[in-house]
Amino acid sequence: MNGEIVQNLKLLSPELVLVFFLVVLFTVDSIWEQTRKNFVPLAVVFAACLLGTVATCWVSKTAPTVFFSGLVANDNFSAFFRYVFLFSCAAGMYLAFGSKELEKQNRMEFALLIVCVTFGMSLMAISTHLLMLYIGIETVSILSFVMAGFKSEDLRASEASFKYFIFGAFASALMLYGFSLLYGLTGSLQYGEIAQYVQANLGNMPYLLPLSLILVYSGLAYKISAFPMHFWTPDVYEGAPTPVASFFSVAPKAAGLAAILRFFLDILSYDAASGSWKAIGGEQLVSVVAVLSAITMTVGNLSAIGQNSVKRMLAYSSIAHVGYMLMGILTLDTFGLGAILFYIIAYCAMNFGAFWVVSIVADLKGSDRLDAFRGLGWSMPILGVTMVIFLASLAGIPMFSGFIGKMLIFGAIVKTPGLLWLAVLGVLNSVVSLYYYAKILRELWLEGREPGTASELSIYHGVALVGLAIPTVVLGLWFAPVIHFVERSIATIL
Amino acid sequence: MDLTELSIVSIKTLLIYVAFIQVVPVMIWVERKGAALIQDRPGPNRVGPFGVFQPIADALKFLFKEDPVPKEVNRLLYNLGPFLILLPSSLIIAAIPVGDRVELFGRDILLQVADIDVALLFFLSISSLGVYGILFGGWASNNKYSLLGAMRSSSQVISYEIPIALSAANAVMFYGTFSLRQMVMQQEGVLLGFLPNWGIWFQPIGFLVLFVALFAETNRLPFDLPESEAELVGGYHTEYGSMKFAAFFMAEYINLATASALLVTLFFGGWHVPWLSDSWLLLKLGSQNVVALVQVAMFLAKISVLLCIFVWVRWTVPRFRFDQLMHLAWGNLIPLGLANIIVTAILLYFFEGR
Amino acid sequence: MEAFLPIGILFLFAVMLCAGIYVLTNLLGPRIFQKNKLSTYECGVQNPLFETNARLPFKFRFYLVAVIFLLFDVEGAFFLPWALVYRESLQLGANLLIAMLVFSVFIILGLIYVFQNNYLNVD
Repeated sequence: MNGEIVQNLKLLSPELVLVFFLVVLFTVDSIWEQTRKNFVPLAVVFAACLLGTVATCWVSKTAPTVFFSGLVANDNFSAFFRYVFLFSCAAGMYLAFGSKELEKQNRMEFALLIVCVTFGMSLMAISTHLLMLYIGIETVSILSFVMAGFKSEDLRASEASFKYFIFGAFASALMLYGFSLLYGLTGSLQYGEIAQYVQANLGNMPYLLPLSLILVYSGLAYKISAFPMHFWTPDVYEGAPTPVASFFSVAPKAAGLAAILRFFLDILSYDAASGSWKAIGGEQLVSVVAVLSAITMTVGNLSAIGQNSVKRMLAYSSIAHVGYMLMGILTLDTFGLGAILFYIIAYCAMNFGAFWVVSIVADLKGSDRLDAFRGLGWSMPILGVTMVIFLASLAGIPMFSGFIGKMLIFGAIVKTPGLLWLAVLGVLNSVVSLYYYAKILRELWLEGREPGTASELSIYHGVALVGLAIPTVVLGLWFAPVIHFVERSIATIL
Repeated sequence: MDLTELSIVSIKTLLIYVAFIQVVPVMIWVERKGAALIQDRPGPNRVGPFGVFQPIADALKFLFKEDPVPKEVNRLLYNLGPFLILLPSSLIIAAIPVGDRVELFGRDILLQVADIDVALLFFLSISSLGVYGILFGGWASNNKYSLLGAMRSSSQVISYEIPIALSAANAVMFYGTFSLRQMVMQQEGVLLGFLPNWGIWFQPIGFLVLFVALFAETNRLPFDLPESEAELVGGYHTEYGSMKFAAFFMAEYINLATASALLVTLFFGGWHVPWLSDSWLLLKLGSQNVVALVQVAMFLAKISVLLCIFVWVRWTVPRFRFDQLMHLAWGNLIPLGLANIIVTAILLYFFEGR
Repeated sequence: MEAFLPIGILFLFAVMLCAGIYVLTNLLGPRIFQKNKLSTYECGVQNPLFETNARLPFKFRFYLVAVIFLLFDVEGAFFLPWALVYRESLQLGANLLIAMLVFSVFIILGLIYVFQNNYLNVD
């Protein structure tokens, strides 16, 4: 075969590993009837993620390249996100397997869906071409619709999936319109060539260019559930099965952020002297993004206060966390953007852990209301302690990874001239978030134990919870190597 | 395009169009006489010698009947139904090469309404539009049976479009072009010394798949469940009277003619006389126009043979049940078509690769 | 675009034919008003109001057939341009063959999936 194609395929090998395992899952599904209920899908997904990680390691040794004639890029940034996605795929599958909500469903199909979503997310993170980005986004979105409505006999899940679908179609249309405007202006869909056009026209910017960027941003904002495209998040997270909601809250957000970072970093450039972004309106764009992230944080935090359903509360809190992460974009330098990546790692572990606890409680008590948590801290101590760790990290209490993430982001903001108000707002929002996280903790530990409920936490879940709590604590204390890793990752696309 | 060119093109279009429409009365007669032959009875023999004026009598009857429109129909779609069925059937005629060139008035006129580069693609896409007429007819009729008949008919038609596309891909792979005229040009002369150079020797399975799928596309027995429902209970053309009813059947017969024309073009050498090449004919007969006449006659003869086969199959084979029909399309024809493409590709690679 | 002009002319002729059919029927056919003619065919069951309503709940199976048709038609549409250049591309190696084989693997997997789950069981 043609040598260049083989070379390009080698650079794409993590995705090819996922595709190969998709084929394996399909084949096993159609041949073997019994595997729908036992552990074979889980084993295959774990094998896929393991091999994918190995492939990513192998591929990330090569120099950063843009290959397949400008469609995708392979560098440390894509390696970082591939690791994140593979981990969340494995964790999501593990959670889905232990959950009673998905007991009666066809688990092989769920494995197929989750592996394919991971593949789509990898495409989103590595693409340097708008069409490739669109393919990735649509793969993730459409399969997410199916995953949200996976329990087809549950009316709320179907309703959640339907809402997700309608909103996703709308956001997709907006994004496509932005893509077509960009194509019309610059004559190309490839990030590099769009960047060249922008550099060449720094002085006289056609007014359509910021408009198209806003449209593209709105489509990507839907994926990460930032304001103003966040309205689907609470309904979908509440209606979808909890394992699915936990996967949604982590992985597509990371993918959307990867896409945003790659796309906007290619187009904009930072001018350290004036503290503004060169090209496209300079200061106005900075303040627009700052205001958007501020509103996202505030909306997320304030709406979570009155919630009675923990899944909804965590959905709003995930919106708030996206607000924090968006703040990091405002400083287009290694420090600020590296802070976003660190926050993604920390957020991945702690949010997954929080949702895991909710899933266990929902299986146990059948509902995710606050009073379902009553006294569980005493009857299932591992659950209680790890929930404390996760929620404290989410709130940004020192000694946990969430605090380090917030410190890095706020630190980057404080260094930027003119954005001090944003950092102050962020801190205030963290304080507010502590309130509703503490509500859960109060139910867990301080409301007294219910008589006669001595429940055992299965080893299956216990291992996972401890496994997620450990990085949350460790990253809060010993984070230097991780900081180096993320800075190396982000430096390759700056 | 100047006026003479435009007028030549218009006259040629009109002639070819009218010629294809003549297939309808001829087919009505052939069908009824053929049915009679197979069923051991006389058939129409009153209206003219051997009943040859029967189709005219039918057409006159249809024209003079009343056209009752029920109360609760959706007017626009009701009137649009037969229209939408006749249009794609008529448009497909444009892509079919009826013969080679004719030299008149000092110009070379191709005997094809439009010599487009993507004729096969045009054929596939326009024939897919026929589903609209069926659906509109069934939906607008405001009749439960019509609606169900229309649903089943449309799902039958769309299910059998995929084997047609796969078989067309197979033919395209072999000939290397979408243009039907080029495909016919490549089927000239003799193969291996004793066979006419036809496409069917190279793609027998493609022919089989296309043949069966075209039966279903034209709603022809053994796949005429929608029509049988018309005979029994309802169907998408229950609520139509007189000429609109006839329009559905006209469309079916014209579809039949174009389907036969497609089969002849792809697999049976088009307008070539078997074993003889065009240059030999030109030598023997002198003028290009006479050669063109011979070619058109050959084309018509081949289409007639195929039409007779269609009629023969119709009155010999019992009807398929609907789920058998769907299983044939999805379970048998599509895998067969796919396997055909893969095997042909591999064989082509081994015979011609590198 | 020159080559497509005859198709436009053919379209006009077809429209004229259809319009001619309509006009002729309206002119030549009688119009006798009978109440029974207003109702749709119902196998002999008389509807006293001569009003029927066929807006039934839609059967989901037909929609599935349409969606699966869409997928496989797009696959067929991918096969067509591939087939166009395949024979010439064989001079440059087996690239297109391998590409098509990989593509067909996914199509075949999809077909197998459809059959395993019996999605096309319209009855």
